[in-house]
Amino acid sequence: MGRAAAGRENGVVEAEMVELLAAGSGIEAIKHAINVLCEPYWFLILSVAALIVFLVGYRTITKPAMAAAIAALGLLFFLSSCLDPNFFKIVSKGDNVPIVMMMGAIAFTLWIAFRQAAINDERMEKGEPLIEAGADDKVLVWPDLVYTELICLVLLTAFLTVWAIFLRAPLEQPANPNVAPNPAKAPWYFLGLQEMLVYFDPWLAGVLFPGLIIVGLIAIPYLDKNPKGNGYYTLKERPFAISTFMFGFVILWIMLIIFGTFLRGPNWNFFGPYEFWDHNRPAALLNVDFHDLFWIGLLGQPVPKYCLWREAPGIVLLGGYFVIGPLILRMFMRKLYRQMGFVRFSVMSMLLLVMLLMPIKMVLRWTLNLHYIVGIREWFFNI
Amino acid sequence: MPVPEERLYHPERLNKWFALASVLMLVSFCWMSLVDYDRPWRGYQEHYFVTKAAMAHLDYLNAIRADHRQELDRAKKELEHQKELAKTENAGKRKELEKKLADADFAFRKANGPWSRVRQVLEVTRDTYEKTLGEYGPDHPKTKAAHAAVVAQEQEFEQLQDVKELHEDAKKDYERQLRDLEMPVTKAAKRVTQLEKVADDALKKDRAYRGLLFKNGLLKNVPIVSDVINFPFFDFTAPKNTPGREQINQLVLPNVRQRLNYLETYTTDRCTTCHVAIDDPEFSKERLAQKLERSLPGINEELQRESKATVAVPTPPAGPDGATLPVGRVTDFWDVLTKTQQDDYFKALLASVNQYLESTGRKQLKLGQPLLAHPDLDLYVSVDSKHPMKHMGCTVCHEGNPQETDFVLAAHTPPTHKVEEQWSEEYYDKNLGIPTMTFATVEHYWDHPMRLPKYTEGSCAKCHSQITDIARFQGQRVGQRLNLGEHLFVTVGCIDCHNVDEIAKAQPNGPDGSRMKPRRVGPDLTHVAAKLKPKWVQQWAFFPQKFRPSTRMPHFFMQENNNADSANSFDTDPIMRTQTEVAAISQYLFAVSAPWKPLAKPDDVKGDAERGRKLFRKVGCLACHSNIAEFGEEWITKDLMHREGLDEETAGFRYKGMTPDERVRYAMKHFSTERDSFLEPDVVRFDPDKKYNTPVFSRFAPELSNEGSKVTFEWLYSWLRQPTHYAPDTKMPNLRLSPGDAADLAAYLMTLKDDSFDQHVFAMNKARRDMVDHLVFTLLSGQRSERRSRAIMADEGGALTEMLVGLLSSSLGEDHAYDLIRAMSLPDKKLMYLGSRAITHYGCYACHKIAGFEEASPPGTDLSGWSEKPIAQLDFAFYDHAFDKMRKSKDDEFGYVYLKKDAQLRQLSPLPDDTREQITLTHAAFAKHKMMNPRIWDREKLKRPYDKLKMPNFYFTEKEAEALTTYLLSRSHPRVNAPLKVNYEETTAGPIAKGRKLTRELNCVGCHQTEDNYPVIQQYFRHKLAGRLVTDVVNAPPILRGEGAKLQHNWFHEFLLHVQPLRPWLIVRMPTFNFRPDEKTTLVEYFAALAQRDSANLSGELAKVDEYIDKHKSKDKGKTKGGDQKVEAEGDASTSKKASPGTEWYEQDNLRQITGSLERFGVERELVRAGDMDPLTNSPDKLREAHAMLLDRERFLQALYDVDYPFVEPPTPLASQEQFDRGFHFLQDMGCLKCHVLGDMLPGPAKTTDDFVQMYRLDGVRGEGDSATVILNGEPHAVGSKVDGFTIVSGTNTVYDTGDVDTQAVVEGPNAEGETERVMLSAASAPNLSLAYQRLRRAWVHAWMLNPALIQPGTKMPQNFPGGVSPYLGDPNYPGTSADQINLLVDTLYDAGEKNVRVPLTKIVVTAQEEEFDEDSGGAEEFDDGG
Repeated sequence: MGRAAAGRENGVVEAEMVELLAAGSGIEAIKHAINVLCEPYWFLILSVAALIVFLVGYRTITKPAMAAAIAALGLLFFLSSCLDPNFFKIVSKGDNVPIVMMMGAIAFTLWIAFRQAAINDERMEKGEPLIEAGADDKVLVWPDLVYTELICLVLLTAFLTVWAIFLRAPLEQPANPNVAPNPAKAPWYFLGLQEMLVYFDPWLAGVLFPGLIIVGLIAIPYLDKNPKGNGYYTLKERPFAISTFMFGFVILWIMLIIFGTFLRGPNWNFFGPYEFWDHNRPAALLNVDFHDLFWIGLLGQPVPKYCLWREAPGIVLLGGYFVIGPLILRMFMRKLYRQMGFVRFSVMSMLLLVMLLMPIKMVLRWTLNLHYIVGIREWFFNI
Repeated sequence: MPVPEERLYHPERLNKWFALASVLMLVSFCWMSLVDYDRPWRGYQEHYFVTKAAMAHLDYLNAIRADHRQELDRAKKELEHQKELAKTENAGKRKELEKKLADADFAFRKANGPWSRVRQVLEVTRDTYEKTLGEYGPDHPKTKAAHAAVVAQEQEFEQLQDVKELHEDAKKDYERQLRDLEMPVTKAAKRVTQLEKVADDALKKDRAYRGLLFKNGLLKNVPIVSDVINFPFFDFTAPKNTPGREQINQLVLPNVRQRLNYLETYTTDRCTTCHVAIDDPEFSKERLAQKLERSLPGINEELQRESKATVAVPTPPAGPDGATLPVGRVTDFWDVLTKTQQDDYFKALLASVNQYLESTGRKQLKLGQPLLAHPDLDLYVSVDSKHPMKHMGCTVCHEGNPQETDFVLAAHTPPTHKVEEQWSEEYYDKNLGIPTMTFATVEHYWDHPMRLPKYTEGSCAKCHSQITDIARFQGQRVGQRLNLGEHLFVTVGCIDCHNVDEIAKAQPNGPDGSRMKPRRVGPDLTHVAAKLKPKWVQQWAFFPQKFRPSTRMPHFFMQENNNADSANSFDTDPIMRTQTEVAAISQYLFAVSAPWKPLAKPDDVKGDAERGRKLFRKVGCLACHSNIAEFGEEWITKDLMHREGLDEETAGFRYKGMTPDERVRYAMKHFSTERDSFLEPDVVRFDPDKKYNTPVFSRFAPELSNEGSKVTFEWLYSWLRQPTHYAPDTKMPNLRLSPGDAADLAAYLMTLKDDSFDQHVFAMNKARRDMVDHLVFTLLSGQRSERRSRAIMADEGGALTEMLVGLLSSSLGEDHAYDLIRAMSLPDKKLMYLGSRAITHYGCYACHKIAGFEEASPPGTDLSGWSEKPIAQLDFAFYDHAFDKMRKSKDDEFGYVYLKKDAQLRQLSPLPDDTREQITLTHAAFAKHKMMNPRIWDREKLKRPYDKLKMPNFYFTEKEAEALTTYLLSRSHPRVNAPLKVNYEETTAGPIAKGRKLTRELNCVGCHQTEDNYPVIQQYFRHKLAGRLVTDVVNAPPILRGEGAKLQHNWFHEFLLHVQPLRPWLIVRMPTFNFRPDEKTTLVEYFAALAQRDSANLSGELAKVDEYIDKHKSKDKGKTKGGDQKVEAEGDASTSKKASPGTEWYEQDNLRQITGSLERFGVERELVRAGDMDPLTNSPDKLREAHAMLLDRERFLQALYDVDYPFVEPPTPLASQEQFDRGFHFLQDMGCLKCHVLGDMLPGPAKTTDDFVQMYRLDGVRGEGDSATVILNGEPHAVGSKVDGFTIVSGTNTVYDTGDVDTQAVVEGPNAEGETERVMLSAASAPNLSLAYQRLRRAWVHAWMLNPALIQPGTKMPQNFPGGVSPYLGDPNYPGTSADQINLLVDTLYDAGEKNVRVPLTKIVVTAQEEEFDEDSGGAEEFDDGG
């Protein structure tokens, strides 16, 4: 949306785009379409859709031929995109190459896991034994494990050396706290957190949420009493747990890293993968608080002066989300509730709701330009 | 540890994996090492050593050349011959001598023994005596006895010593004779050894290098030293700086700082890693060319020996004026070749040498950067230059990434797109392996990429923060771009809109104690209604260049973003809009213009245009103003004849065909290049030997060819009489014109009209009214709601009135402002409002003083640290990389500085039409293009009228734009420590820098030569003399070089404040300046500092020369003692007479720089002629003579210029009357009073002709014949008029070929007898001496008497004491030496001044034979000798 809005603002660019489209350059048109689809709004929707399709159709999709075809298509897309100088510049930047590799690695590991899950699920349906059945996990530390590890270590060293030869350390400006690099990016593994900063107050995005992620991860063994899926791959037996994990990991972590790496350019603006990172491109950013939407937009009344009264609608909304949310969850997940008990279920649903708050807030930002749901700046309390 | 037997994995397979992995790791490790080892800089260093090796080889070839070998053979034969001679002819003599020597030696030894013994015994006896003396006193017998012993032994010692010395001398004498006898042999042997050593050394060096560089394929079977010391992992073994060792060179520069993250740290430059030979004079292009050229004969001999084809000796290029240069010795004339000729010749030489090297299997040489030395080693890099590399490094000037050794990462800046493309292929892709890297990345990431060579001067300002102190260095002009840039920045008015801290801080404090702002460059507009008419103002403001193409006023309108083509949906008719704005501005200006009364002209004074015209040419206007109406015809016709080879008639016809505008444009194009008043002599190109010299079109002040169409007579009269009456802060000085002169000048200027300047008004029709409404509404609604805006527009509740009154009340007073506004109609009020906002928007108030805007802040960006602004903050519009496609597809839009369709701007712009512009994403490109076309960064953008870029167009030339860019690039935080910074407080640099700035700002340099500038006014003071065009030194404003050594500073202060005419015969006059506080002092300090600096420079340089001479003198003395004169004389047979030692200092290599500097100074000050210094055209004797003279004269000036500041002449008691009378007599005998006047005239009316000549002094005659004016005691009187009842009969100026003028007037009146007679008055042609005692330093007067021509070349003052010897030496009337006599003169002069002695003219009665007087007054010939 940012880009399209900028385009409207900057009539010339739009005219230029229109001209290029009208010129009938098919490739340009495709690139343009991809640029548009890479805007966060579409990107999120498409990713979630793709995840759903994947989880539903995992048995078909992970078939080797199918997977190979998808991989080939992806590779083809990537390679042909590399012909575009802007795309190539971004993906070939020394810092970004590992992320490109990570995309492939994630796809590959996902495929392995879900392929085995698909086979296991099929076998379970047929009543056949699992792949893992009868497998002996025993490994000797000496000499097998140590030896293997040594070999891996040597190979990896060689690999890193060759990598360093090919990707020279890039030129960066001298460190200067007065002149931050533009775009100023966190290390790749924190790009997801940095992306959250766009939507949430720093103490939420920088302190509370990361804390909750860690707490949540620690809590999983205590929350999850279900012995199924332990020691073997399956999706069918754990659809909720795996889907939730996949959403949190792939969409809210990996996707945001990709996002931050490839699509966030100067001034933290969105740039399509084929767009030049223009430092001077303006972006239309106009955010409104929920209290404005509620009092002025909905009720047509002046905004109350006292902050709590002013933010009451947001607080109610948020309170409702965290109170009614678990109740609704309980309604739909009676079985789970029975299994987990009240405390565990409450903790789980709170964690889940906090996680869901992220995409909800993103969508609200893109659709309603929502700044804060509760924005008590007086107390630095903003959600 | 037991090996477990259980294995789950296949061990063999793991072993194989392990083996494979290990091999892979080893391979990758080796690969890494190689990649790490193989750096581009190694190639450069290797090539450096290859070049050194090749040079050694060429030296060797040279040493074994046939003629050198023949010389050796000859020397050997000579040695044989001498040996033979010694054996035969001198054998007997030697034997005899040897025998005598043996005898003498024996005798000496015999005498020496007893002498030594007695000497030691005497010591003991003396000691005994001293002790007894101390213990017992002198009278004690013991003491007496001891004393007697001493005396006795002393006697014995004396005797023995005599004998010993006799024998010793004899022995030494024989030894010397023997040595003399053997001398020819020794000498011949020495010569042989010397010659052999040259060849041997060359061979050794060649071999050494061959060994060193085996790996470069120089030779196949020699130890591989270079390979070993550079082998990966082992390259640390050889110590640093071993020849052939490839290493990273690093300069640690504690005083050049870098800022890293709140921490300033020292810089380490590694540039010399690739630029290895940057400080090696051998690697300068000239020296390399010389070496290559000198080696060709040796090469060809070698090739002939091996019966191979020889290489070509390049044909010499044509010298200047078609002179032929000798084959094989072209490099001796290197300086006369043009840059291209040098390059071509160098290439040809290199090709020949490379051909040879290739034929011997050696590597070819590539002698370009990074291998060459710095092009200006005299000034930079080298150890004894002002900027030694060890202290300054490289990046302090060139910027870039100092620690990098990679071409790209060191941030080299490509000058053009083409180069950028080449580089990205060569370096970004190939070397660095980062194909996506562009220069934009470098500039984006590295704050300070390297500066293009043309902008490097921007860095000078880091240490030379005052900038003007670097205008010249030892006669060389340096820092021209930066200096011009700063000058333009201040004088065209950049500083008025854009603050720059350095300049703001340098302003003086005003009377109220606060820092003053720089003078506004535009005229004061607070009383504009009294000077100009609205219709003129409107036309002018809209398009100033139409009225006056050369004007300094920049052009705001009809530019690329507000001409007819630029209409967009927000700005439908830009021309109409801007015209309306101009109408509104003029409405505002005239409405607030305060009433002003011009100075009243006396009724009897009527302007005489013809007289005014003559006055205009002479009185000094032309130092600042030009006038094409007056000089255009002569200038342009001549220039056309010269430039295009037209005959006079055609040229005249062409001139007549030009419109006035075209004439001015022609002048701007061909007669001036910059808006700079400090003209360098080579800019003016005045050469007396040339038939044609281009005139100079000064743009310092308005060109006046159409002034009459602009102002009124009354205003002009008042302005000329007293400029500050109209504008208190104006730079225009007061020429102290009499009412008559001012009226004449004004009348003349009013005749200069240009009717082609269309004077219609932008009348307020319906469309314009609508436009006013539209614009006012736009402006109002930008800050408030539309409803409120409409209310204000309708002036509801007086809202608009209130706003306008608010704006004006502080300037006009609230009541007056209220009355003024209330009297206006609503449309006028709206127009007023629009005018005020337009003035705000365009920033008119920054350059002009306008009521209501006195306190407004500058409209432009603060440029104090501009060059440190991140590149991403500069808006390149669609020239950014993001729009590469657009740029390619819309070439017409993005390819040119000015759009192709924009004929108007292209015509006004001095850019050539086909200039394709290279816009790289750099600070420099941004600034330069903005300067050339200020609206370029709006191109293709859709903007509202008041969002558009508004910087006006100054129509800068490319050179000016680059100068300003250089200045802007210099605006950064100077990260250097104090030791590198110029000390302005305690050295002469400060006053000089300030003074230069001021003399340029006030245009003192338009009249006076203060340093090596060329005053523009001098072109009007040239006349033909013996076929040469020379400057009329006598009548032109005086040259002020060395003035600081001449004047008493108190007097100088007083003079600047109250100017009084010193040379009454001058028509051109020193104006009274409207100085700001401190400016007088700045000037006085400036001149004093100039003298001090010259003296200090000279004394430093002369000291070095003296040191050399002394050293050689003492050496020579030592030699003479040894008795070697004979050999000396023989050895230097080419010199006819024996040179005294050390006189050939100017040939010494280590004094090269100093010699150059001394020679330049001498030539510039006309102490010697440049031709006499040329070693090629002068014999050694002549050269020695010329240089000895140079030294003498420079010592003279050095002593003269060594002055104190502030200087006060110490009071000297008056001499006795007798002494004074003698002195006064001497003064007359010397003929001083033939040209000089002494004393002021007596007041009171004259009764007789005797009285008249006593009471009236003729100061000058203006005009000719009957219309001449005779100036008596400073008052002009027309010929025919009466003074004290005396009739002025005639006044004449007789101009001689020498340029001297005799000014005479004849007056008729009664003599003492009552008869009517005519007497002739002669004007003094030299200054009144009565002022000398206050004005001049005694020391200077003394020196001036001795040698006037040295102090002021071209002066009329004769040299009365040639060689310091008085013509009256030995005269009984004037006792003492010449120096005493000069002192007598000086004392008398000073006493006479103090006593106010006056010497009236002698009465000369004119009879019928007028020829007589010519003889009487014929001083011209006499002056010739001294002139």
